Amino acid sequence: MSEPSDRRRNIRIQVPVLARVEGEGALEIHARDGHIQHLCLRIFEPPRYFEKFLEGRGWEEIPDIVARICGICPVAYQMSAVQAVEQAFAVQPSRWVRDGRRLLYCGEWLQSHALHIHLLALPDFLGFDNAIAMAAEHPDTVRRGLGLQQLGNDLIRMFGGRSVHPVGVRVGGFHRAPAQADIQALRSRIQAALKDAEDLVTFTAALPLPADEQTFVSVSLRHEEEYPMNGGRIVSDRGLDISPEDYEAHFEEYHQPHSTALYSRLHGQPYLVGPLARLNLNHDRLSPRSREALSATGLTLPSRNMFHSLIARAVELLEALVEADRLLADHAPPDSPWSEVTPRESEGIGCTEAPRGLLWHRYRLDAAGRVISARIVPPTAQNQGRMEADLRHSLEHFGLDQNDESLKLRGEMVIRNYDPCISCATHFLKVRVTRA
Amino acid sequence: MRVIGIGSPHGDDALGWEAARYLARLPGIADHLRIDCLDRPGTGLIQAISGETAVILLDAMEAGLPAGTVRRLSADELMAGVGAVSSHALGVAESLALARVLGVLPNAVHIIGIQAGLAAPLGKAPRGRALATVSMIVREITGLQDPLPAARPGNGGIG
Repeated sequence: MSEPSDRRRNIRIQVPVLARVEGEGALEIHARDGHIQHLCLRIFEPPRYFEKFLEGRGWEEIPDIVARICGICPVAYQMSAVQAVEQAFAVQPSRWVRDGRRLLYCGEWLQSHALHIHLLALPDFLGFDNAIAMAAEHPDTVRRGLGLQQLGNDLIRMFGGRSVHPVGVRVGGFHRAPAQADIQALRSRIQAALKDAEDLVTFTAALPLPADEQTFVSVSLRHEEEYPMNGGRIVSDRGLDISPEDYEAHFEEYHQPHSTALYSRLHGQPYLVGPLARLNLNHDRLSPRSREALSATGLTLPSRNMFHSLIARAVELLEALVEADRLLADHAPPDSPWSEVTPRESEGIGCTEAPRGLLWHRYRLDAAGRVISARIVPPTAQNQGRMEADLRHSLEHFGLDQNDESLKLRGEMVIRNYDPCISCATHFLKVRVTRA
Repeated sequence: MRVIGIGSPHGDDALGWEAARYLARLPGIADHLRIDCLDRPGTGLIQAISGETAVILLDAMEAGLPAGTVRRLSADELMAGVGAVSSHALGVAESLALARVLGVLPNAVHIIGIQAGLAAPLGKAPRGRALATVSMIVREITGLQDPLPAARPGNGGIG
């Protein structure tokens, strides 16, 4: 499709609601006289219903129910949930459980980031319509991605019993401990993959990523010692430094008429969660090996270019492997894979770093441990306002005189930078353009 | 030859697994085939079939057919229209297409789909008939026979 390059033309892009196993998305853009007059990104969030599904259910059921919220990041939902319930019941998981959960999370970051980079994002930057077409020209690149993803799935399976909607997690720990022989076998594979992950960091940094500097607020967890996954305080690059218990005093969810998903704002402003925000705020917490790989790219942090999210994911993928190797090296079979749990009437907060960013849970439980109320704030919803601001800026910066296909592709690329669940469909923008 | 049942524990999505387990109980077949089940393998299917020369994939399907209908498909038929990797969770068709591009698609890929019930799970009797039909198709593909002569079903329900 080609249109005359007329930056003053009226542009009307409407994207119908599209199927989303992990969410539904739509995009509307109206532009006139070279400026975007109207832009809204719609996300319809099925996870909202889970808060109601949980009411009345017992505390033992929570990890398995919340795992069904997302097919890609079920571990994240389980981790925030068990953390919240354990806080409510004053349960202190053992060191072994803590390490096991970090390993499980490493697996999820690994599989999610590997899949996003290689199969969803790379075709944009290598000039292909999709990963299958790209694989014909870059088979080794795709094989690397599939191998890393498989490794992540196997790590999840080792602790979670299965890689999709794992069932191994329980409040207080895990239902069972992995066999030591499986630990050693997987550790060998992880060590063998470290070079691939380092190469991936170099590879992503060498891609022709667009230059698109923007102003935005980065938000993530920050831990005293480690790159944040399962714990820490919530911080921003504007001085926020709060306990997850104080989340609701600073962050606000609100409705927009065009979307059933809740938007989030921090002190009235949209903000970014996810890999680039985490890296901006925590690059000093990376392992020496990841820090060295990052340093070799020449990337200056904090970055204000959302296209650097691809590099951030590659760095985090490497970090997940390095961490998994370290934790598996120290692994020893536990006396018990879980701590005893005694329910009580209480409330608990859980906050962890899903692959796509901050995931905050709160549960009120009765004396028997049944859920009275639940609140779940997923990362994609938190990024919704930021994505709209980004689209508005990026498309105007890109140039509204570009033809519709170019605008559509750039819009998709901008959205994919966030790896939202709606990017389940890499070509989800069905564009209809009408002109006045 | 490897036989892989694909699915999940949920409802009729387990039909591929049930078919694999049914085959595994048939001595004349099970002794000559490697039969596994995979839980929503996504791209893991590529690894599972790499290095194989012939595979049979068993999976529940939604094809707008009467529930319990069994269809035999070729990889080409399944991959028809697959252009983009359109999901985080890659399906069987996309994974086979990717496997072909990567040069690891087995020479022979047979897909046996079982139409899942939509309004309600497939009942016991049609379920049994569907599994028997799957075993008959597997015999046709492999040339294997039960120790006892198998009842010869008609063509009803077989695509």
